[in-house]
Amino acid sequence: MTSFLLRRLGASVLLLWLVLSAVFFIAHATPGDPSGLIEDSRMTAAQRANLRRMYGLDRPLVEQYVLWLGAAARGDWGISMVQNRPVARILGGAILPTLALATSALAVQLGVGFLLGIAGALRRDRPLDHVLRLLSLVFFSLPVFWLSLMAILLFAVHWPIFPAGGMRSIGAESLPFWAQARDLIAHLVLPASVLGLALSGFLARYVRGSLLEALGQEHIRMARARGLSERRILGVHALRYALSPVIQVLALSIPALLSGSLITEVVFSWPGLGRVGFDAVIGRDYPVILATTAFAAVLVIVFNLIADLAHAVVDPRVRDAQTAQTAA
Amino acid sequence: MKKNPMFFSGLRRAAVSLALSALVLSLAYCRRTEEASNAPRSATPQRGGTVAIAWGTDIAGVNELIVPSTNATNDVLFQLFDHLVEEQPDFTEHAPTMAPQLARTWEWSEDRKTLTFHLDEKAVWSDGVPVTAEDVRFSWQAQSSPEVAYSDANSKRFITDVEAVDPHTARFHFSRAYAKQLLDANEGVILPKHTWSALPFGEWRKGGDWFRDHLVTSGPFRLASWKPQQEIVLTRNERYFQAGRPRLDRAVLRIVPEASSQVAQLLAKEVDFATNMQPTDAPRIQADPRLELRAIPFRNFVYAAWNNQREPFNDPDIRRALTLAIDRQKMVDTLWGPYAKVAVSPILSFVWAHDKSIEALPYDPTEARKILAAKGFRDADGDGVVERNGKPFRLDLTTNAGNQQRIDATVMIQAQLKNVGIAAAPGIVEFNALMAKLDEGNYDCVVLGVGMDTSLDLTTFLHSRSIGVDNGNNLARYSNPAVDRLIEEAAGQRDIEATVPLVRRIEKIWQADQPATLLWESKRLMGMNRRLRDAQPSPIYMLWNLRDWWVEPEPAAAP
Repeated sequence: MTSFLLRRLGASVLLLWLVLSAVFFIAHATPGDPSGLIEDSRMTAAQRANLRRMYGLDRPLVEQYVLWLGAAARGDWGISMVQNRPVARILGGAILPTLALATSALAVQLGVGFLLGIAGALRRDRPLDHVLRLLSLVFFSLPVFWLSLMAILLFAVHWPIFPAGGMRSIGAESLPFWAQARDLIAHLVLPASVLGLALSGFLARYVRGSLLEALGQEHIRMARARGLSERRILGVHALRYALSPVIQVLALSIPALLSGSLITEVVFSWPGLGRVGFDAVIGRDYPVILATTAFAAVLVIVFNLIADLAHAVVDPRVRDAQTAQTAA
Repeated sequence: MKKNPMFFSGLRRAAVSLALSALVLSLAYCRRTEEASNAPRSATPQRGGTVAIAWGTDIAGVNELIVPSTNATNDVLFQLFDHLVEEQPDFTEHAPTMAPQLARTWEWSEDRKTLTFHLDEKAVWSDGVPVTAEDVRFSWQAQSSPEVAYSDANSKRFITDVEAVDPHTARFHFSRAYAKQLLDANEGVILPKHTWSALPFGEWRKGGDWFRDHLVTSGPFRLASWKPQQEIVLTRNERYFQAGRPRLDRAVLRIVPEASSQVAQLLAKEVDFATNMQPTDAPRIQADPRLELRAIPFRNFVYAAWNNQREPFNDPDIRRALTLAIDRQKMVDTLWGPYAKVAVSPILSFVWAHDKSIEALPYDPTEARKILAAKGFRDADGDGVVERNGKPFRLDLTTNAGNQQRIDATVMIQAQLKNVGIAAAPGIVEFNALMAKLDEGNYDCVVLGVGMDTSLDLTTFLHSRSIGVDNGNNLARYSNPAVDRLIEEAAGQRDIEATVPLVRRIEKIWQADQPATLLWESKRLMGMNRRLRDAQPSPIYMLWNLRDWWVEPEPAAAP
């Protein structure tokens, strides 16, 4: 198990390096740079050249790459070329809101996805199943952008239940802790629900399919024959069997969660990483682009790693194969 | 026949979207409007209160000199820092006037090469230290330092020295006399020498956080808090030297990048002022009696710039034919409704100096076809595209991504040009990438917007030396020695009124030459809660007179 983990970690570091190098060269190969951003910029060519020199953009690309990589390896992500402040501090302020949104959305996705999937599998081909399948198709098909706007129009404008955007109400910082927490949750409900629902359709269809496959297995029929209760068959035997492909799918949906949160963050004015990254791309703020990409890449890699481990835990065959491999 | 699952899933998707849209739209239309405020409105300005504003983009920092110069950032910074004088948005009737700000009065020397400002003795920094001529000198030093690399440093190129004559007298020395001297001297806010001189200029570009930690301001508001990407809270500067100003206790700017979200927050009464709206949102604001739609002229026009250095756009007759072939009025009606008009001249139609007798060329595709035929363009092979010497008339038509009106405009231009036998290929390019393409001159036509100040200086827009990389805003790559001379002559005038006849001659030449086809001058749409009073956003700055804004007191909460 340890050597499996070590090999996977090594591969992850290599992958991270490849991703970052690709982003570095693609970002620099894209036309435009931070010195010429404004539509009617009144900067002269000499001024632009001066600015490029100050930011080191006039050096050979390979030299910039080596310098940047060395610094990044030491944990120094540089200074933003637009905000003129350390990248780590810019990201530091945005990571928590994004994680809050992403984990809440993930919870919604899991809850709704499993619920719809299990209910559908149990009522296979009956009216409820058809309705649920249509519902999951709706969640899956609708663009997050549109769904977000509709959610705002319905639940913030027409029925003013939730706030229309932002992360806290004006003046919330003067409230007591619990009121602040409530305020934060109220702001989180709509974006997390929209994002979670949009992703749950995909999961529900997967859970349903995987569960139906499990219910058709020999050992389930055996369990039925032994007179086990349906609840026990479903909850222990079938679900466990169905879980392992679902975990893989879930890990693969982390990138979708991150890219979906970019759109949600923009529409709901949520102050997260997605917006930082988006602004950085528009402003060609290379150090920030690279740092946000690195963060997203690390998240994706880590979740895949966790999925592999979880897969090994729920499915003994994977564990045994790994042990055998290690022994060989 | 086998069912195509893709087709059906697409159909189902569309049907579901349609059904949901219909539901939401019907709900939106039966919105309750009965809670309209019938309360009597107070006429006397009230002191106190908070106004919440939906703001499109976050500021990039608190030091004007090191952040990209955008209206969104400047607008906020100008609430924190004062200038010497303030240009008034009264340029529709006469040349813009200047109102005192940190400088109480100012006067010129006989040869107009020295300009002396007398600072208001009451002006102090937020820490109580007086604003002095040393601050004015320090600001100029920072603005012109290559290490600071201020984006507007060019405006200081004729200023040879700024002298602190006494604590409240600052004297600017110029190497020559010209029309924009006062504007150039006034460019950039006055910075606090007593705190910011502690950081060497060489460190400024890394000092974003340092300036925030050492923030000392002189303007009507102070920065109470700034949570990046969330909100900027401005509070009244109790030490502000203009008595009774500002009236508001607080202005909270919530960062809401998406225009539709701004409107939703305005409708939900979470903000009092939505600064960025699309024409399609206007009816929803007008339908709500508690809200008010504001449409103010925007100092900007959108145009299709023909690359005058390329065949056949180097021929003024061909450019004229192109303009005649484009139905600009229809474009305005479709994209903007009542909130724009066809642009006729690079001098905006609401600026006092504009020659009002100039009319836009008509939409006349027949005449356009005639001109093209006279110039040898004929559709010999019957494919719908005219050709000359066997070469079909094709052109690429590029605009920047992210601006829907411009993208729609390129599609309309394509359709209208097709009507006269010209094949245009629209392309959408990300903004920075487009800028690089423009520097290289690698295009037939670009559809872009340009902001125009009131200085009547057309150097960057039309002068032949503004073609290409250096100051490259002459996107039509237009070169006309007569126009160059007129621009230089205008720039050399000491009095802006004296430039008016020269500028009008340029307008006439433009009309005949059509270096570019002007499309529209649009208004900027904003939504405001009626409880917000005396707010007068200017054509450039949304928060222009924020110090005079006030809010109706909150009505007692309904049971």
